[in-house]
Amino acid sequence: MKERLYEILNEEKIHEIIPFLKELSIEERKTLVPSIKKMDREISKIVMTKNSYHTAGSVNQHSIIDIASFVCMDKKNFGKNYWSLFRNAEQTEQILEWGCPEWFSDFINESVEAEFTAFNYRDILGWTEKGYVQPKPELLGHHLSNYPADLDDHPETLNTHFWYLCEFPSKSLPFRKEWFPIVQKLIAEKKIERKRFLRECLLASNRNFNKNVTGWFMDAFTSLKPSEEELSELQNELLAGLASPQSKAVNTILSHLKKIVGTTGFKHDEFSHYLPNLLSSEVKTVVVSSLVLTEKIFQRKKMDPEMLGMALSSAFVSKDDGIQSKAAKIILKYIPVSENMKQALSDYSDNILTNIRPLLVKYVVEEQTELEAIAPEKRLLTGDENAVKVLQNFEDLMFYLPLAMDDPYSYHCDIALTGFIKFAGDADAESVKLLEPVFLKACKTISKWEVPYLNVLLCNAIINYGMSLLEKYPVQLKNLEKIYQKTKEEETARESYSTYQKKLGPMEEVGADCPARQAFKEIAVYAMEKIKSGDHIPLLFPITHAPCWISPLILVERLESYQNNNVEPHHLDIQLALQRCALDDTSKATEEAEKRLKGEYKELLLFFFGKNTRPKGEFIHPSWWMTAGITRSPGTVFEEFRNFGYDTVPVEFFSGAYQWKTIDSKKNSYYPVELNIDIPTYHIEKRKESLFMEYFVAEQKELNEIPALLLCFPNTPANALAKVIKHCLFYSGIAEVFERNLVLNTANALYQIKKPLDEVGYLFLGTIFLDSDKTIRGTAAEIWLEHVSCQMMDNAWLGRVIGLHEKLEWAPVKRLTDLMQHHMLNVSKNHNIALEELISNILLQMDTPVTNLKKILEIYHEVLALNHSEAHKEVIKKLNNWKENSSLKKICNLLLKK
Amino acid sequence: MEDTLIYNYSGTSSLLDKGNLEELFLAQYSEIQKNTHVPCFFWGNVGQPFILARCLISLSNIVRSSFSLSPFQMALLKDPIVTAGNERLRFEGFSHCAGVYARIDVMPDGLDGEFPENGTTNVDFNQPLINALGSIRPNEKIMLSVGKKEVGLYKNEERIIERKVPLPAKWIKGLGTVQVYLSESEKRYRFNKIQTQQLFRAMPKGVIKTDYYLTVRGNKPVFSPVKSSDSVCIGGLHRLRLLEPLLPYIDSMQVFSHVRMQSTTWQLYMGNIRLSFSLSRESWRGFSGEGALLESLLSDVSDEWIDALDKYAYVNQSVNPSRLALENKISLDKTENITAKLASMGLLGYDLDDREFFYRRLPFKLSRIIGLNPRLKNAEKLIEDGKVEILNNNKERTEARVEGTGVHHTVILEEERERCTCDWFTKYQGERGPCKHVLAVKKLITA
Repeated sequence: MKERLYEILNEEKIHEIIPFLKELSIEERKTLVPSIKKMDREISKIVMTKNSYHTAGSVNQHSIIDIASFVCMDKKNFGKNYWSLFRNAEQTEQILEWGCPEWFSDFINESVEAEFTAFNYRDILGWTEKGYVQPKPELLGHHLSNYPADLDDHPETLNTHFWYLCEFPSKSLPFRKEWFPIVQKLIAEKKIERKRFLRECLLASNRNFNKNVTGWFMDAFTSLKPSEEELSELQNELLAGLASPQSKAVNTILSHLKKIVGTTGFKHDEFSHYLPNLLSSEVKTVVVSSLVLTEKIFQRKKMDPEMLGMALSSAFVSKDDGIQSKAAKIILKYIPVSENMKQALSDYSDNILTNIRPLLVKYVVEEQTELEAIAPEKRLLTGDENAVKVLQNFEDLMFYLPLAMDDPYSYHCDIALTGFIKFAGDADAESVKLLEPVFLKACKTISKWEVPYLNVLLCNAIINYGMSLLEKYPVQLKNLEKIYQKTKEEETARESYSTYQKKLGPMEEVGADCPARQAFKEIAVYAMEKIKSGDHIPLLFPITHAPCWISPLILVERLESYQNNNVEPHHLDIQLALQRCALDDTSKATEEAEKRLKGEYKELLLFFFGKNTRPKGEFIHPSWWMTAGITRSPGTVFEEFRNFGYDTVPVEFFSGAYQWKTIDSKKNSYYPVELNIDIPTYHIEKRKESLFMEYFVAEQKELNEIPALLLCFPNTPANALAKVIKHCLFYSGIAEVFERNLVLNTANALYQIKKPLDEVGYLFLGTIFLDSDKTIRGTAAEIWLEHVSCQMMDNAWLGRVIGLHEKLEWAPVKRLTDLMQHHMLNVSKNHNIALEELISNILLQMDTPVTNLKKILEIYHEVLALNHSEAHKEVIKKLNNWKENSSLKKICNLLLKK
Repeated sequence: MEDTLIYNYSGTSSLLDKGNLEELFLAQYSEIQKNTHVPCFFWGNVGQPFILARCLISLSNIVRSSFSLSPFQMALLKDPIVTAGNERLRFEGFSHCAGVYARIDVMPDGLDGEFPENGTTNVDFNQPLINALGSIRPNEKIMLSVGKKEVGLYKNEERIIERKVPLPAKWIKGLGTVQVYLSESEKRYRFNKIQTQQLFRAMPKGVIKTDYYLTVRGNKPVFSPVKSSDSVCIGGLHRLRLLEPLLPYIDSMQVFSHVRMQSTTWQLYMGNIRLSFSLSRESWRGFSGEGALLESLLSDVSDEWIDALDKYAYVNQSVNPSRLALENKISLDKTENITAKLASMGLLGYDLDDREFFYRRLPFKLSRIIGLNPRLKNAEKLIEDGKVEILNNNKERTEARVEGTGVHHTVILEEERERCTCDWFTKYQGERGPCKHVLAVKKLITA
């Protein structure tokens, strides 16, 4: 039996599969299942060719297996395959006639969850007639929504199934453009009941449908132009729909309620219960329509004003000037002062805008609370709270390596490597067993398609280490050989792929396709040598404090051990260490360096820590000195270093001072406003000791590692930030996942570094203040808040960047104003003062009024009032020009009055 | 394992118009209820019917929400459970993905009526009922009845409604786990209504994939994308939006966080009604899969305990294990960790305000609950198959080797910490409960 199936499969005898299966008994079919599964695996294997891949089986072979699976398997084994078998409708009918599995009905009923099915509503009706399927209402509704045709063929379609379509969620309804005209026609022809359909449309608002489907029903409702009478009759459904989570539904319903608010039957009492929710909606149109409706109720009806008034107070949760003034006007006009009303409004007292406040003076008693000034914070970059863990022994190392493999670009890798060098030689006959799962994980990780480069290096090191231990402990580690062989075979298979970079074998042979990776590989080769030779002198570059810092004291200690052992450090290792050294408090380290170090080490560190303002002594290792110089004082060119030969590297890479400009490319172009930053091209030059930085700036490539690389240059982040700006922030509307993640990770890294910003830093921060992604903007606000708290934010500089962008309407102003309102306003007295300065400087860059300039001015007014301060002198000049603009007139005059 | 649960409701829940009074009737069913003759749990007036109705609508939105499944399943409704007794009513429910838990507590002063029977039961929730709830107005007089007060009173509703649903295994497991998490939570913040509303307004739109952190600046609570000391970490922040419709009606909100940041609880106060809302660590993680209970399930709880609870504890009343042990002469050494064990069996709930467990027996068969933990079963299988080898075992340190698929894992248990070389442990570092290897070793050495 099995052999026969193999024969049919191998010789692709597609016409023989059905007759063959027909003859089998149910039991026999069952016994075939394991073989079918095996065959399926075989033909589904992926075969690589040079530039593409496909499955091992032919089309016919896949069909044979599909048919066999359907007939022989149970529902669970057959899975959710609603596609391949059913593409051939005729053949499916044939099979069903004699071999309809008993699970078929359930299987089809579950198809509502499937993304695609090869069968449609008509097929289901056919199967129902023949008794193969007992359809559930949701199945019929779902498939009917995909099949807007032949509605008259089957009486049940319009009598029953159409209403299922209204009742149950259907993903495709809004995307089938035919439905809309069809429904209108059916109603005109009285084939479906108009009133019932209108009601169903409204009920859709609370049926947990997705936004598009709910929207479709709302549009359908509006397009049918319900009469006043119909609306009154549907009032209960209309009101219930106001609780819908979707603003489209709420807005549609509000617009229809407006039409009947004047009628005698309008249930204003009931409406008022929805008011607190409607008025605290975040969707402005909902709030505004609700206010209009409320006003209309007041105009026409005598009703208890207090209850409606208390509900009205919730409108003040919004900081929008338009909403607040509208609500205030209604209150003034219709609602008498009372204790309850005062109480209701005073809850919102802190939130009422300063220019609305005077209007409500009779209602609001409380004075605004003054914020306190906060003492500036001072945090050490290398304090106890961010010191990283130190591994204690071989066992710790084995438990820690997997963590590093899971997150190679974090400091886990630093900790693991330090431990690796210290404890690699400590394995004994018992503890060596711990290596097996670590080795397996390394092999599994390295054989994935896309492996982060640091993981390639780390896993390669673990694999090589494991293989070397295998010679010493063949019994304990006998599993390793098998695991390794499998990994090796997989790599061999991939090597046929043209751009494949080698990952296994000696570290020296691992592929590195750009200079930045080359640098890391060199360090890895060096570390691997240390592990092999049992050299316990610690690496210099691993960090001691999260996220990226080396304590200067420990740097002294580490260098001392090189000095005492008379070993020269690797030039990239020491450069990376210098780049990551925390320079905020070096007094103790300077003392220790003077005491414990000698010669070049001592002179280097005294210069680096700032004790010596100029470099002194003998410069044996130019790359050390150069890196120390640019890390300590990026803007300074030291005469002493002039003949080191690094002057072929463009000066921007040393100073971090890049040229940039926001350019107006005119409205019609693809990118209306662009941000242009000039990064010189540089090809790495062959020399004895390259700078670590050279590897990073040469042949600008491999973007996804930038945030990690940023943490390699925490003292001078400009080069990394410039790259991100160039590739991901040249236009404000970029919404690609890759770019978004890169910017977010970079922003997070910048937040963690906690150092004052430089020119490019302000450009980056100012630009991400206006980013399209809210999480990125939120992170920008966090950086601002913290830098203001620590008194290291230059708001004039930041304001200039934002102003230059927004002058050309780089991004919607609302992004900025929302951020200010929700995150930056009223944090502390210091922050309010900083915010005032920031806004002044933004405004100073503006010429002709941009869209929503009003919003910035409103916040400016608010913050000035909070600070008891006046508008900036230069800004006043601008205000005098802007007040000619009709939409700005009111706010400009308010500001000028101050 | 049976994989369907059959609800047998005697009628459908509905809002009945009875002349000058409306009655909110909730049909109930419990597969373990002993006393079927008095199938009514509460009958009487509700102090704040409008608020209760809003809370119940929110609860219905929660039980039909899902943050990890396809949209179709989201529309299915799962029925919440109600606990009546000790003068209070509690409605509990879980989202489909079991990552969001909510409980409405109606306190004694919010109810005026009788409790003919104490206990916990499922109540029927259906779309027409939810629509009707939306029409309840403030100051309206509403009678609530959980179950039928008198058989035969509702002539036109005299039929059995049978609903089959896939066994809500995740629910049942989650209902236990979440209580343990609640008991390990601490109060972090209290915000007034306006602070709360502002906090929610500043929340980013759409599905939020990154973690957010709740922190207070000045007088203002904010969700920040970056971590700071003292902040509360929230994954899947958008799930909080389920609470939004209730915010205009609250007096205040309290925020509780789990000690290891594995969950957060948001408690809304609306007069004598309170709604607690708990979120799992991340939107794709259900409470059901968080192994918080596994350790407690390692050793069996003696039947004495279950009997004692059944006999002496009153529904919704706080449970004091040592007193219960004393009164029932159960040896006290068995009480260690007993509350967690009982909670995991679905016998206890946790009240954050009172900081104590209360008795509430889930309306599902006990056998279902115990059979639901695959990690524990896998651990038992490891032992059965002889795959666990204890290398050494003393008071300070136990070392064991466990055979995995094609590899040998090492488990090391020390007083302060436990470690395993498997991927699960590496990934979660014990935060989601012990892995099956650690469980197996523990079970073996305590046996």
